[in-house]
Amino acid sequence: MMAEDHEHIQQYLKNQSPSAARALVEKYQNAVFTVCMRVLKERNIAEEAAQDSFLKAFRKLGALQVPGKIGGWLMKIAYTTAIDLKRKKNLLEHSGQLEDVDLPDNNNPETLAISRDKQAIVASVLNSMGATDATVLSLFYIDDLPVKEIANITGLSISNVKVKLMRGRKTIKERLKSFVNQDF
Amino acid sequence: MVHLAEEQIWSYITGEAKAEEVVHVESHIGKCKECEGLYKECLKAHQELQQLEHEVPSMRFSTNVVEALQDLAVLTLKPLKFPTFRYLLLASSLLVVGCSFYLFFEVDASGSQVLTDFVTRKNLQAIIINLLLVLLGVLGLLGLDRLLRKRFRERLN
Repeated sequence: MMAEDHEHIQQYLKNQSPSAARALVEKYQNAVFTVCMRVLKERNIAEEAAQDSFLKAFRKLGALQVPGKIGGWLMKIAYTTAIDLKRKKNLLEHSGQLEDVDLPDNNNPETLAISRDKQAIVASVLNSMGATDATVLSLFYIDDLPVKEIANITGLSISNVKVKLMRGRKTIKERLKSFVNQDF
Repeated sequence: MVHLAEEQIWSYITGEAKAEEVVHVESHIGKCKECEGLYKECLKAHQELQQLEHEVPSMRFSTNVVEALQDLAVLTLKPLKFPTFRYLLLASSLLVVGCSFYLFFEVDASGSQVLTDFVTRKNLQAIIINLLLVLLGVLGLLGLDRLLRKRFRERLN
């Protein structure tokens, strides 16, 4: 996998090969787009940020020292690009705290019956979280990245990443409480 | 009985807990209903988080990126090497030559003197002036190209 990435990078650097660029984009587009979605929350804007991230990355591809680490490097670029775009577009209304957005009322059996999809609840909670918290959770659970790498991508300290992970887990746990007794 | 801290339970679930801590958590959960309940809640959240998947961009995303990259490659091509001083000198020389031709032919252009069977003084004047205008136009476009590429690179940096 890493050798494949290295080969595509060399091909792109040598003659700006569109097929090499496409291969790299297709491999990492979901991870990059997910980071942008966690920060920006809106698909159109996240897609714009993801595209900008790839363009920036390809311009700086020659400066990538460890080709095997292109995934983390791309996600770092995506995270900073998304944060910059968020600042520019003044989308700060979501940042900071968890908001009570259209989440099912766990005490109401009717609502509970309507929206039983736990994954939808988790996705909804992620969407209502602050940009950094949601990104940290996403990088840890979806991309299986170690805390150190997440700290590198987000620019946070390792202990801060751990705190955010814990906070995110607790939030998800609270939201899923009602399902526990049914499942166990 | 001292209950387990939630952090301990999470460390146990994620596999970060040390061996002795694992033993402690397991034995405690076995005899404490309250901590067992908390453990189940944490485990449920952990399992759901593990099932999360990447968001997927639109179908055309990779094509859009590759097309944008190709546009960028064209825009970042280096402009033709053409020193500004020489460029201005050539453009002004062409202008002077053009004006001279125009004036030269204007002095005695009344008679449409025949130079050959097909080329009159008037025709010759028009051809030369048009050629010079085209050359000046080309130089003008090259200059504009240089300027825009410079601006674009400045914006990229």
